Amino acid sequence: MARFGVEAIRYFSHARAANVDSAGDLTYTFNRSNGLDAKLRSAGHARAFYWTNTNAWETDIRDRDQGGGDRAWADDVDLFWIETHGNHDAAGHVVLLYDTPMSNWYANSAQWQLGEDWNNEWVMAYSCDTAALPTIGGLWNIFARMHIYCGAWDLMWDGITTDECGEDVGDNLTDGDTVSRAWHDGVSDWWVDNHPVTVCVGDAATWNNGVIRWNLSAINRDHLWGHGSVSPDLAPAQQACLLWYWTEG
Amino acid sequence: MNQQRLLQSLAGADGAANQPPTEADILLLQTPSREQLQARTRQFLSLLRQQDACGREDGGPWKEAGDRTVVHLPDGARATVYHASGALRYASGLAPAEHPFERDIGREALARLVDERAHALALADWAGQDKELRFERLFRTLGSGADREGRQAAPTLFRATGAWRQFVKGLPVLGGASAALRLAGDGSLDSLSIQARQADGEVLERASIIEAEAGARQILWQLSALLGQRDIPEGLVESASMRLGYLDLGKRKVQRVLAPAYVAQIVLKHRSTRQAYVLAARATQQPYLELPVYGGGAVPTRGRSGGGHCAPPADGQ
Repeated sequence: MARFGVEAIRYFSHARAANVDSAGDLTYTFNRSNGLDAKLRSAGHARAFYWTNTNAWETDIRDRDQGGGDRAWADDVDLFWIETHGNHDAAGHVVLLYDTPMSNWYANSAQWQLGEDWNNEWVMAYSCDTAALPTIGGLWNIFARMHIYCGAWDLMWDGITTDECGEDVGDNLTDGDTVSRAWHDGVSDWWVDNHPVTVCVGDAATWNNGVIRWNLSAINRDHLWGHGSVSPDLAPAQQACLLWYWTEG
Repeated sequence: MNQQRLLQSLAGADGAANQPPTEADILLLQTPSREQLQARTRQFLSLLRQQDACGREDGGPWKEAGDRTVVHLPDGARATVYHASGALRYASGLAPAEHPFERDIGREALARLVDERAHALALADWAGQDKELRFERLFRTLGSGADREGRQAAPTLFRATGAWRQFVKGLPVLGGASAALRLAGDGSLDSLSIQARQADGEVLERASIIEAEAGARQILWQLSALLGQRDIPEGLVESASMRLGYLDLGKRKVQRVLAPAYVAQIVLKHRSTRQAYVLAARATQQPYLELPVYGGGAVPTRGRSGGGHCAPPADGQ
Protein backbone atom coordinates (compact mmCIF):
# COMPACT_ATOMS: atom_id res chain seq x y z
CA MET A 1 0.00 0.00 0.00
CA ALA A 2 1.03 3.62 -0.39
CA ARG A 3 2.19 6.32 2.02
CA PHE A 4 0.93 9.76 1.20
CA GLY A 5 1.29 13.30 2.46
CA VAL A 6 -1.03 16.27 2.10
CA GLU A 7 -0.38 20.01 2.24
CA ALA A 8 -3.27 22.41 1.77
CA ILE A 9 -3.28 26.18 2.08
CA ARG A 10 -6.59 27.97 2.11
CA TYR A 11 -5.79 31.31 3.73
CA PHE A 12 -3.23 33.79 2.41
CA SER A 13 -3.67 36.64 4.87
CA HIS A 14 0.01 36.62 5.89
CA ALA A 15 1.20 36.72 2.29
CA ARG A 16 -1.14 39.62 1.61
CA ALA A 17 -0.13 41.47 4.77
CA ALA A 18 3.53 41.11 3.85
CA ASN A 19 2.69 42.45 0.38
CA VAL A 20 4.03 39.27 -1.21
CA ASP A 21 0.97 38.81 -3.40
CA SER A 22 -2.67 39.91 -3.39
CA ALA A 23 -3.81 36.26 -3.74
CA GLY A 24 -7.27 35.66 -2.36
CA ASP A 25 -8.20 33.01 0.15
CA LEU A 26 -9.44 29.81 -1.45
CA THR A 27 -12.84 28.31 -0.71
CA TYR A 28 -12.99 24.53 -1.14
CA THR A 29 -9.35 23.68 -0.44
CA PHE A 30 -10.12 21.43 2.50
CA ASN A 31 -13.10 19.77 0.83
CA ARG A 32 -10.64 18.57 -1.79
CA SER A 33 -7.70 17.70 0.45
CA ASN A 34 -9.88 16.13 3.16
CA GLY A 35 -11.66 14.19 0.44
CA LEU A 36 -8.46 12.73 -0.96
CA ASP A 37 -7.19 12.01 2.54
CA ALA A 38 -10.39 10.23 3.60
CA LYS A 39 -10.65 8.14 0.46
CA LEU A 40 -7.03 6.97 0.55
CA ARG A 41 -7.14 6.19 4.25
CA SER A 42 -10.41 4.29 3.97
CA ALA A 43 -8.74 2.11 1.33
CA GLY A 44 -5.94 1.28 3.74
CA HIS A 45 -3.26 3.72 2.63
CA ALA A 46 -1.19 5.46 5.28
CA ARG A 47 -1.18 9.20 5.76
CA ALA A 48 2.32 10.29 6.73
CA PHE A 49 1.46 13.96 7.28
CA TYR A 50 -1.24 16.53 6.64
CA TRP A 51 -0.05 20.13 6.98
CA THR A 52 -2.40 23.06 6.54
CA ASN A 53 -2.10 26.82 6.06
CA THR A 54 1.02 28.22 7.79
CA ASN A 55 2.09 24.70 8.77
CA ALA A 56 2.83 23.98 5.11
CA TRP A 57 6.35 25.10 4.16
CA GLU A 58 8.18 25.41 0.89
CA THR A 59 11.13 23.53 2.37
CA ASP A 60 8.95 20.41 2.57
CA ILE A 61 9.42 19.85 -1.15
CA ARG A 62 12.80 21.56 -1.61
CA ASP A 63 15.65 19.13 -2.12
CA ARG A 64 17.92 18.41 0.81
CA ASP A 65 20.94 19.31 -1.34
CA GLN A 66 19.36 22.75 -1.81
CA GLY A 67 18.83 23.29 1.91
CA GLY A 68 15.32 21.85 2.00
CA GLY A 69 13.73 19.05 3.95
CA ASP A 70 12.10 16.96 1.21
CA ARG A 71 13.66 13.76 2.50
CA ALA A 72 11.45 13.95 5.60
CA TRP A 73 8.29 15.10 3.78
CA ALA A 74 7.44 15.24 0.06
CA ASP A 75 10.20 12.79 -0.86
CA ASP A 76 9.40 10.49 2.01
CA VAL A 77 5.98 9.51 0.64
CA ASP A 78 4.78 7.76 -2.50
CA LEU A 79 2.15 10.40 -3.26
CA PHE A 80 2.35 14.06 -2.31
CA TRP A 81 -0.79 16.20 -2.74
CA ILE A 82 -0.53 19.96 -2.47
CA GLU A 83 -3.09 22.68 -2.97
CA THR A 84 -2.16 26.37 -3.07
CA HIS A 85 -1.79 29.20 -5.57
CA GLY A 86 0.64 28.42 -8.35
CA ASN A 87 2.42 29.69 -11.41
CA HIS A 88 5.57 28.94 -13.38
CA ASP A 89 8.66 31.02 -14.09
CA ALA A 90 10.11 31.87 -17.50
CA ALA A 91 12.17 28.68 -17.47
CA GLY A 92 9.09 26.55 -16.86
CA HIS A 93 9.77 25.79 -13.20
CA VAL A 94 6.79 25.31 -10.90
CA VAL A 95 6.17 28.23 -8.54
CA LEU A 96 3.97 27.69 -5.47
CA LEU A 97 2.86 30.35 -2.99
CA TYR A 98 2.92 29.68 0.78
CA ASP A 99 1.41 31.73 3.57
CA THR A 100 4.55 31.72 5.66
CA PRO A 101 8.17 32.34 4.68
CA MET A 102 9.56 29.08 5.94
CA SER A 103 12.10 29.70 4.49
CA ASN A 104 10.64 31.39 1.39
CA TRP A 105 7.16 32.58 0.45
CA TYR A 106 7.50 30.72 -2.85
CA ALA A 107 8.65 27.24 -3.72
CA ASN A 108 10.47 26.96 -7.05
CA SER A 109 10.90 23.57 -8.66
CA ALA A 110 14.39 24.51 -9.83
CA GLN A 111 15.23 23.36 -6.30
CA TRP A 112 13.29 20.09 -6.39
CA GLN A 113 14.64 16.61 -7.04
CA LEU A 114 12.13 13.94 -6.18
CA GLY A 115 12.42 10.19 -5.99
CA GLU A 116 16.16 10.19 -5.32
CA ASP A 117 15.80 7.75 -2.47
CA TRP A 118 13.25 5.67 -4.36
CA ASN A 119 10.44 7.17 -2.31
CA ASN A 120 8.31 9.73 -4.10
CA GLU A 121 6.55 8.51 -7.22
CA TRP A 122 3.80 11.06 -7.73
CA VAL A 123 3.17 14.73 -7.00
CA MET A 124 -0.31 16.18 -7.44
CA ALA A 125 -0.58 19.97 -7.36
CA TYR A 126 -4.07 21.47 -7.41
CA SER A 127 -2.79 24.92 -8.39
CA CYS A 128 -3.02 27.16 -11.44
CA ASP A 129 -0.46 27.40 -14.23
CA THR A 130 2.29 25.20 -12.77
CA ALA A 131 3.07 23.33 -15.99
CA ALA A 132 2.58 25.66 -18.94
CA LEU A 133 2.86 23.72 -22.19
CA PRO A 134 5.34 26.01 -24.02
CA THR A 135 7.89 25.76 -21.20
CA ILE A 136 7.04 22.31 -19.86
CA GLY A 137 10.63 21.14 -20.40
CA GLY A 138 11.51 23.16 -17.32
CA LEU A 139 10.04 20.37 -15.20
CA TRP A 140 12.69 17.84 -16.19
CA ASN A 141 14.98 18.39 -13.22
CA ILE A 142 12.36 17.29 -10.66
CA PHE A 143 12.39 13.71 -11.98
CA ALA A 144 15.12 12.02 -9.97
CA ARG A 145 13.30 8.65 -10.17
CA MET A 146 9.96 10.29 -9.46
CA HIS A 147 7.35 9.03 -11.93
CA ILE A 148 4.58 11.56 -12.68
CA TYR A 149 3.89 15.22 -11.96
CA CYS A 150 0.16 15.96 -12.04
CA GLY A 151 -0.59 19.65 -12.40
CA ALA A 152 -2.30 22.25 -14.55
CA TRP A 153 -1.14 23.89 -17.76
CA ASP A 154 -3.43 26.91 -17.15
CA LEU A 155 -6.14 27.76 -14.59
CA MET A 156 -7.55 25.39 -11.97
CA TRP A 157 -10.94 26.48 -10.66
CA ASP A 158 -11.85 26.79 -7.01
CA GLY A 159 -15.53 26.67 -6.26
CA ILE A 160 -18.74 24.90 -5.72
CA THR A 161 -18.39 22.59 -8.72
CA THR A 162 -14.85 21.40 -8.00
CA ASP A 163 -15.25 20.65 -4.29
CA GLU A 164 -15.40 16.89 -4.87
CA CYS A 165 -12.18 16.70 -6.92
CA GLY A 166 -10.14 15.25 -4.06
CA GLU A 167 -12.70 12.53 -3.40
CA ASP A 168 -12.89 11.79 -7.12
CA VAL A 169 -9.12 11.48 -7.50
CA GLY A 170 -9.00 9.26 -4.39
CA ASP A 171 -11.82 7.03 -5.60
CA ASN A 172 -10.26 6.74 -9.05
CA LEU A 173 -6.88 5.78 -7.62
CA THR A 174 -8.29 3.12 -5.31
CA ASP A 175 -10.70 1.79 -7.95
CA GLY A 176 -7.69 0.89 -10.07
CA ASP A 177 -7.40 3.74 -12.56
CA THR A 178 -3.95 4.73 -13.69
CA VAL A 179 -2.56 7.70 -11.80
CA SER A 180 -2.78 9.83 -14.94
CA ARG A 181 -6.41 8.95 -15.59
CA ALA A 182 -7.26 9.40 -11.92
CA TRP A 183 -5.97 12.97 -12.12
CA HIS A 184 -7.52 13.95 -15.46
CA ASP A 185 -10.93 12.52 -14.62
CA GLY A 186 -10.85 13.45 -10.96
CA VAL A 187 -10.17 17.15 -11.36
CA SER A 188 -12.54 17.59 -14.31
CA ASP A 189 -16.19 18.45 -13.76
CA TRP A 190 -16.56 18.92 -17.52
CA TRP A 191 -17.99 22.41 -16.97
CA VAL A 192 -15.12 24.66 -15.95
CA ASP A 193 -11.88 24.17 -17.82
CA ASN A 194 -9.40 22.81 -15.28
CA HIS A 195 -6.49 22.19 -17.68
CA PRO A 196 -5.10 18.99 -16.14
CA VAL A 197 -1.71 17.78 -17.34
CA THR A 198 0.38 14.77 -16.35
CA VAL A 199 4.11 14.75 -17.03
CA CYS A 200 6.58 11.87 -16.87
CA VAL A 201 10.01 10.91 -18.14
CA GLY A 202 10.72 7.99 -20.47
CA ASP A 203 13.71 5.98 -21.61
CA ALA A 204 15.15 5.68 -25.12
CA ALA A 205 12.86 2.78 -25.98
CA THR A 206 9.84 4.88 -25.02
CA TRP A 207 11.06 7.90 -27.02
CA ASN A 208 11.77 5.64 -29.99
CA ASN A 209 13.29 8.48 -32.05
CA GLY A 210 10.19 10.61 -31.65
CA VAL A 211 7.65 7.90 -32.49
CA ILE A 212 6.64 7.66 -28.86
CA ARG A 213 5.76 4.24 -27.49
CA TRP A 214 3.15 5.49 -25.05
CA ASN A 215 2.39 1.98 -23.85
CA LEU A 216 5.78 1.94 -22.09
CA SER A 217 5.26 5.27 -20.34
CA ALA A 218 4.44 5.84 -16.68
CA ILE A 219 1.43 7.85 -17.85
CA ASN A 220 0.03 4.66 -19.35
CA ARG A 221 1.25 2.19 -16.74
CA ASP A 222 1.40 3.67 -13.26
CA HIS A 223 -1.26 2.86 -10.68
CA LEU A 224 -1.29 3.66 -7.00
CA TRP A 225 0.55 0.98 -5.03
CA GLY A 226 -1.82 -1.90 -4.34
CA HIS A 227 -4.16 -1.10 -7.23
CA GLY A 228 -2.22 -2.20 -10.31
CA SER A 229 1.17 -2.10 -11.93
CA VAL A 230 3.78 0.60 -11.37
CA SER A 231 6.49 1.31 -13.93
CA PRO A 232 10.14 1.02 -12.88
CA ASP A 233 12.02 4.05 -11.57
CA LEU A 234 14.11 5.83 -14.16
CA ALA A 235 17.38 7.31 -12.97
CA PRO A 236 18.35 10.58 -14.68
CA ALA A 237 20.96 8.79 -16.80
CA GLN A 238 18.21 6.57 -18.24
CA GLN A 239 15.85 9.42 -19.07
CA ALA A 240 15.70 10.11 -22.79
CA CYS A 241 12.47 12.07 -23.04
CA LEU A 242 9.86 14.06 -21.22
CA LEU A 243 6.25 13.15 -22.02
CA TRP A 244 3.13 15.14 -21.27
CA TYR A 245 -0.57 14.37 -21.60
CA TRP A 246 -3.11 17.14 -21.29
CA THR A 247 -6.82 17.86 -21.54
CA GLU A 248 -8.05 21.07 -23.17
CA GLY A 249 -11.51 22.53 -23.53
CA MET B 1 -11.82 46.79 -14.10
CA ASN B 2 -13.04 48.68 -11.04
CA GLN B 3 -15.74 47.54 -8.61
CA GLN B 4 -18.59 49.27 -10.43
CA ARG B 5 -17.56 47.92 -13.81
CA LEU B 6 -17.20 44.44 -12.33
CA LEU B 7 -20.70 44.70 -10.93
CA GLN B 8 -22.05 45.79 -14.30
CA SER B 9 -20.05 43.11 -16.06
CA LEU B 10 -21.49 40.39 -13.84
CA ALA B 11 -25.03 41.69 -13.96
CA GLY B 12 -24.98 42.06 -17.72
CA ALA B 13 -22.76 39.14 -18.57
CA ASP B 14 -25.44 37.03 -20.17
CA GLY B 15 -28.85 37.72 -21.50
CA ALA B 16 -30.56 35.46 -19.00
CA ALA B 17 -28.83 37.12 -16.08
CA ASN B 18 -29.38 40.59 -17.47
CA GLN B 19 -33.09 40.11 -17.79
CA PRO B 20 -33.88 37.18 -15.57
CA PRO B 21 -37.36 35.77 -15.38
CA THR B 22 -39.32 37.39 -12.58
CA GLU B 23 -40.35 34.04 -11.15
CA ALA B 24 -39.27 30.41 -11.25
CA ASP B 25 -40.52 27.15 -9.81
CA ILE B 26 -38.80 25.63 -6.81
CA LEU B 27 -38.67 21.98 -7.79
CA LEU B 28 -38.76 19.13 -5.33
CA LEU B 29 -36.08 16.50 -5.89
CA GLN B 30 -36.30 12.82 -5.12
CA THR B 31 -33.75 11.42 -2.75
CA PRO B 32 -33.33 8.03 -4.37
CA SER B 33 -34.23 4.99 -2.30
CA ARG B 34 -32.01 1.93 -2.26
CA GLU B 35 -34.42 0.19 -4.64
CA GLN B 36 -34.49 3.17 -6.99
CA LEU B 37 -30.69 3.27 -7.04
CA GLN B 38 -30.59 -0.42 -7.90
CA ALA B 39 -33.13 0.03 -10.68
CA ARG B 40 -31.26 3.03 -12.04
CA THR B 41 -27.99 1.11 -11.98
CA ARG B 42 -29.55 -1.84 -13.82
CA GLN B 43 -30.89 0.56 -16.45
CA PHE B 44 -27.40 2.04 -16.79
CA LEU B 45 -25.84 -1.42 -17.12
CA SER B 46 -28.37 -2.26 -19.80
CA LEU B 47 -27.32 0.86 -21.68
CA LEU B 48 -23.66 -0.17 -21.35
CA ARG B 49 -24.47 -3.65 -22.58
CA GLN B 50 -25.77 -2.10 -25.80
CA GLN B 51 -22.30 -0.57 -26.17
CA ASP B 52 -20.60 -3.92 -25.53
CA ALA B 53 -19.17 -2.39 -22.36
CA CYS B 54 -20.82 -4.78 -19.96
CA GLY B 55 -21.03 -8.54 -20.26
CA ARG B 56 -23.37 -10.06 -17.72
CA GLU B 57 -26.88 -8.84 -17.08
CA ASP B 58 -26.04 -7.49 -13.63
CA GLY B 59 -22.52 -6.48 -14.69
CA GLY B 60 -20.50 -8.30 -12.06
CA PRO B 61 -19.98 -8.05 -8.32
CA TRP B 62 -21.68 -5.03 -6.71
CA LYS B 63 -19.61 -3.48 -3.93
CA GLU B 64 -20.93 -0.81 -1.60
CA ALA B 65 -18.15 1.65 -0.80
CA GLY B 66 -19.26 4.46 1.48
CA ASP B 67 -21.04 7.08 -0.57
CA ARG B 68 -21.37 4.92 -3.70
CA THR B 69 -21.81 1.41 -5.06
CA VAL B 70 -19.31 0.13 -7.60
CA VAL B 71 -20.10 -2.61 -10.12
CA HIS B 72 -16.99 -4.26 -11.48
CA LEU B 73 -17.29 -5.07 -15.18
CA PRO B 74 -15.15 -7.13 -17.56
CA ASP B 75 -11.73 -5.86 -18.70
CA GLY B 76 -11.19 -3.63 -15.68
CA ALA B 77 -14.19 -1.41 -16.37
CA ARG B 78 -16.63 -0.33 -13.68
CA ALA B 79 -19.95 1.38 -13.18
CA THR B 80 -20.61 3.56 -10.14
CA VAL B 81 -23.81 4.91 -8.64
CA TYR B 82 -23.67 7.70 -6.04
CA HIS B 83 -26.15 7.15 -3.23
CA ALA B 84 -26.94 10.79 -2.41
CA SER B 85 -27.86 11.89 -5.93
CA GLY B 86 -28.29 8.81 -8.10
CA ALA B 87 -25.51 10.10 -10.36
CA LEU B 88 -23.97 7.39 -12.53
CA ARG B 89 -20.55 6.90 -13.96
CA TYR B 90 -18.93 4.36 -16.26
CA ALA B 91 -15.16 4.08 -16.60
CA SER B 92 -13.62 1.69 -19.11
CA GLY B 93 -10.49 -0.22 -18.24
CA LEU B 94 -8.60 1.46 -21.08
CA ALA B 95 -5.16 2.82 -20.26
CA PRO B 96 -4.76 6.55 -21.04
CA ALA B 97 -2.82 6.03 -24.26
CA GLU B 98 -4.70 2.98 -25.52
CA HIS B 99 -6.49 3.37 -28.87
CA PRO B 100 -5.43 6.89 -29.91
CA PHE B 101 -6.99 8.64 -32.89
CA GLU B 102 -5.01 7.95 -36.06
CA ARG B 103 -5.07 11.69 -36.79
CA ASP B 104 -6.58 14.84 -35.39
CA ILE B 105 -9.86 15.17 -37.28
CA GLY B 106 -10.64 18.63 -35.93
CA ARG B 107 -13.02 19.91 -33.30
CA GLU B 108 -16.14 20.00 -35.48
CA ALA B 109 -15.78 16.40 -36.54
CA LEU B 110 -15.08 15.36 -32.95
CA ALA B 111 -18.16 17.22 -31.75
CA ARG B 112 -20.20 15.35 -34.36
CA LEU B 113 -18.72 12.04 -33.20
CA VAL B 114 -19.61 12.56 -29.54
CA ASP B 115 -23.03 13.92 -30.48
CA GLU B 116 -23.79 10.88 -32.62
CA ARG B 117 -22.81 8.62 -29.76
CA ALA B 118 -24.98 10.61 -27.37
CA HIS B 119 -27.94 10.03 -29.68
CA ALA B 120 -27.14 6.33 -29.96
CA LEU B 121 -27.07 6.13 -26.17
CA ALA B 122 -30.31 8.12 -25.93
CA LEU B 123 -28.59 10.35 -23.37
CA ALA B 124 -31.42 12.86 -23.57
CA ASP B 125 -33.76 10.30 -21.96
CA TRP B 126 -31.74 10.61 -18.75
CA ALA B 127 -32.55 14.31 -18.49
CA GLY B 128 -36.03 13.39 -17.28
CA GLN B 129 -39.55 14.34 -18.26
CA ASP B 130 -40.06 17.90 -19.52
CA LYS B 131 -36.33 18.51 -19.41
CA GLU B 132 -33.72 18.95 -22.11
CA LEU B 133 -30.10 18.01 -22.49
CA ARG B 134 -28.14 20.52 -24.57
CA PHE B 135 -24.61 20.05 -25.87
CA GLU B 136 -22.28 22.47 -24.08
CA ARG B 137 -18.66 21.88 -24.98
CA LEU B 138 -15.99 19.56 -26.28
CA PHE B 139 -12.77 18.62 -24.51
CA ARG B 140 -9.78 16.94 -26.13
CA THR B 141 -7.00 14.97 -24.48
CA LEU B 142 -3.65 14.95 -26.25
CA GLY B 143 -0.09 13.86 -25.61
CA SER B 144 3.35 14.93 -26.78
CA GLY B 145 6.97 14.64 -25.79
CA ALA B 146 10.45 15.99 -26.31
CA ASP B 147 13.95 14.57 -26.06
CA ARG B 148 16.99 16.01 -24.30
CA GLU B 149 17.87 18.06 -27.36
CA GLY B 150 14.46 19.66 -27.38
CA ARG B 151 13.15 17.81 -30.43
CA GLN B 152 9.40 17.64 -29.96
CA ALA B 153 7.09 14.89 -31.19
CA ALA B 154 3.89 15.80 -33.00
CA PRO B 155 0.90 15.77 -30.62
CA THR B 156 -1.27 12.66 -30.56
CA LEU B 157 -5.01 12.95 -29.97
CA PHE B 158 -6.11 10.32 -27.47
CA ARG B 159 -9.63 11.18 -26.33
CA ALA B 160 -12.62 13.36 -27.18
CA THR B 161 -15.08 14.26 -24.42
CA GLY B 162 -18.47 15.83 -24.97
CA ALA B 163 -20.36 17.58 -22.17
CA TRP B 164 -24.09 18.30 -22.01
CA ARG B 165 -26.23 20.42 -19.71
CA GLN B 166 -29.70 19.73 -18.40
CA PHE B 167 -32.28 22.49 -18.81
CA VAL B 168 -35.41 22.59 -16.70
CA LYS B 169 -38.20 24.94 -17.76
CA GLY B 170 -35.71 26.94 -19.78
CA LEU B 171 -33.14 27.33 -17.00
CA PRO B 172 -29.82 25.45 -17.04
CA VAL B 173 -28.93 23.21 -14.12
CA LEU B 174 -25.52 24.65 -13.27
CA GLY B 175 -22.71 22.61 -11.76
CA GLY B 176 -20.64 19.79 -13.15
CA ALA B 177 -21.76 18.61 -16.59
CA SER B 178 -25.18 16.92 -16.47
CA ALA B 179 -23.81 14.31 -18.84
CA ALA B 180 -20.38 13.67 -20.30
CA LEU B 181 -19.07 10.95 -22.56
CA ARG B 182 -15.55 10.27 -23.74
CA LEU B 183 -14.52 8.34 -26.81
CA ALA B 184 -11.23 6.68 -27.66
CA GLY B 185 -9.79 6.84 -31.17
CA ASP B 186 -11.31 3.51 -32.20
CA GLY B 187 -14.76 4.76 -31.23
CA SER B 188 -14.97 2.76 -28.02
CA LEU B 189 -16.70 4.32 -25.05
CA ASP B 190 -14.02 5.30 -22.53
CA SER B 191 -16.25 6.97 -19.95
CA LEU B 192 -19.80 8.11 -19.42
CA SER B 193 -21.25 10.13 -16.56
CA ILE B 194 -24.84 11.15 -15.91
CA GLN B 195 -25.41 13.69 -13.19
CA ALA B 196 -28.95 14.83 -13.96
CA ARG B 197 -31.05 14.96 -10.81
CA GLN B 198 -34.36 13.13 -10.83
CA ALA B 199 -37.35 15.40 -10.29
CA ASP B 200 -40.90 14.23 -10.84
CA GLY B 201 -42.13 17.71 -11.66
CA GLU B 202 -43.56 18.43 -8.22
CA VAL B 203 -43.32 22.13 -7.46
CA LEU B 204 -42.76 23.35 -3.91
CA GLU B 205 -43.79 26.85 -4.85
CA ARG B 206 -43.21 29.60 -7.34
CA ALA B 207 -40.62 32.09 -6.14
CA SER B 208 -39.65 35.60 -7.18
CA ILE B 209 -36.21 35.98 -8.76
CA ILE B 210 -34.09 38.84 -7.49
CA GLU B 211 -32.51 41.16 -10.03
CA ALA B 212 -29.17 40.25 -11.55
CA GLU B 213 -27.52 43.29 -9.95
CA ALA B 214 -28.61 42.09 -6.50
CA GLY B 215 -27.11 38.69 -7.29
CA ALA B 216 -23.90 40.30 -8.52
CA ARG B 217 -23.67 42.31 -5.27
CA GLN B 218 -23.76 39.08 -3.25
CA ILE B 219 -20.97 37.69 -5.44
CA LEU B 220 -18.92 40.86 -4.90
CA TRP B 221 -19.32 40.60 -1.12
CA GLN B 222 -18.00 37.06 -1.24
CA LEU B 223 -15.11 38.13 -3.45
CA SER B 224 -14.22 41.05 -1.17
CA ALA B 225 -14.18 38.74 1.86
CA LEU B 226 -11.93 36.26 0.07
CA LEU B 227 -9.51 39.00 -0.95
CA GLY B 228 -9.53 40.57 2.49
CA GLN B 229 -10.34 43.94 0.95
CA ARG B 230 -13.39 46.11 1.07
CA ASP B 231 -13.05 47.16 -2.56
CA ILE B 232 -11.81 45.08 -5.46
CA PRO B 233 -8.61 46.76 -6.66
CA GLU B 234 -8.49 48.16 -10.19
CA GLY B 235 -6.84 45.82 -12.68
CA LEU B 236 -7.23 42.66 -10.61
CA VAL B 237 -10.08 41.07 -12.56
CA GLU B 238 -9.02 39.32 -15.75
CA SER B 239 -12.50 38.08 -16.68
CA ALA B 240 -15.91 37.74 -15.05
CA SER B 241 -19.23 36.25 -16.05
CA MET B 242 -22.41 35.22 -14.27
CA ARG B 243 -25.30 32.94 -15.15
CA LEU B 244 -28.71 32.34 -13.69
CA GLY B 245 -29.76 28.74 -13.33
CA TYR B 246 -30.77 25.98 -11.02
CA LEU B 247 -27.80 24.80 -8.99
CA ASP B 248 -26.74 21.19 -8.55
CA LEU B 249 -24.59 20.83 -5.43
CA GLY B 250 -22.72 17.76 -6.66
CA LYS B 251 -23.11 14.03 -6.93
CA ARG B 252 -22.19 13.23 -3.34
CA LYS B 253 -24.71 15.59 -1.76
CA VAL B 254 -28.33 15.02 -0.89
CA GLN B 255 -30.33 17.89 -2.32
CA ARG B 256 -33.93 18.56 -1.44
CA VAL B 257 -34.83 21.10 -4.11
CA LEU B 258 -33.64 22.71 -7.30
CA ALA B 259 -33.68 26.43 -6.65
CA PRO B 260 -32.39 29.29 -8.82
CA ALA B 261 -28.95 30.71 -8.12
CA TYR B 262 -26.56 33.16 -9.72
CA VAL B 263 -23.25 31.44 -10.44
CA ALA B 264 -20.22 33.54 -11.35
CA GLN B 265 -16.88 32.57 -12.84
CA ILE B 266 -14.19 35.11 -12.00
CA VAL B 267 -10.51 35.03 -12.98
CA LEU B 268 -8.08 37.25 -11.09
CA LYS B 269 -4.53 38.20 -12.00
CA HIS B 270 -2.29 38.98 -9.05
CA ARG B 271 1.33 40.09 -9.08
CA SER B 272 2.72 36.57 -9.21
CA THR B 273 -0.28 34.23 -9.51
CA ARG B 274 -3.67 33.89 -11.18
CA GLN B 275 -6.75 32.34 -9.66
CA ALA B 276 -10.19 31.27 -10.78
CA TYR B 277 -13.31 31.26 -8.59
CA VAL B 278 -16.74 29.75 -9.09
CA LEU B 279 -18.98 31.66 -6.69
CA ALA B 280 -22.69 31.12 -6.18
CA ALA B 281 -25.40 33.27 -4.63
CA ARG B 282 -29.06 32.54 -4.26
CA ALA B 283 -31.39 34.16 -6.75
CA THR B 284 -34.48 34.13 -4.55
CA GLN B 285 -35.41 36.22 -1.54
CA GLN B 286 -36.09 33.10 0.48
CA PRO B 287 -33.26 30.63 1.12
CA TYR B 288 -34.53 27.34 -0.30
CA LEU B 289 -31.07 25.84 -0.65
CA GLU B 290 -28.16 26.25 1.70
CA LEU B 291 -25.13 27.30 -0.31
CA PRO B 292 -21.89 26.28 1.41
CA VAL B 293 -20.14 29.37 0.11
CA TYR B 294 -16.77 28.99 1.78
CA GLY B 295 -16.35 25.22 1.91
CA GLY B 296 -15.40 23.00 4.84
CA GLY B 297 -12.59 23.22 7.39
CA ALA B 298 -9.42 21.20 7.61
CA VAL B 299 -9.30 17.88 9.39
CA PRO B 300 -8.00 18.41 12.96
CA THR B 301 -4.24 18.20 12.93
CA ARG B 302 -1.51 19.09 15.36
CA GLY B 303 0.32 22.39 15.10
CA ARG B 304 3.84 22.32 13.77
CA SER B 305 6.78 23.60 15.73
CA GLY B 306 8.64 26.36 13.94
CA GLY B 307 12.25 26.45 12.87
CA GLY B 308 13.76 23.06 12.38
CA HIS B 309 12.53 19.97 10.62
CA CYS B 310 10.92 17.43 12.86
CA ALA B 311 10.40 13.84 11.86
CA PRO B 312 6.90 12.83 10.84
CA PRO B 313 4.94 11.63 13.87
CA ALA B 314 4.62 7.89 14.23
CA ASP B 315 0.83 8.06 14.40
CA GLY B 316 0.56 9.74 11.01
CA GLN B 317 0.20 13.17 12.68
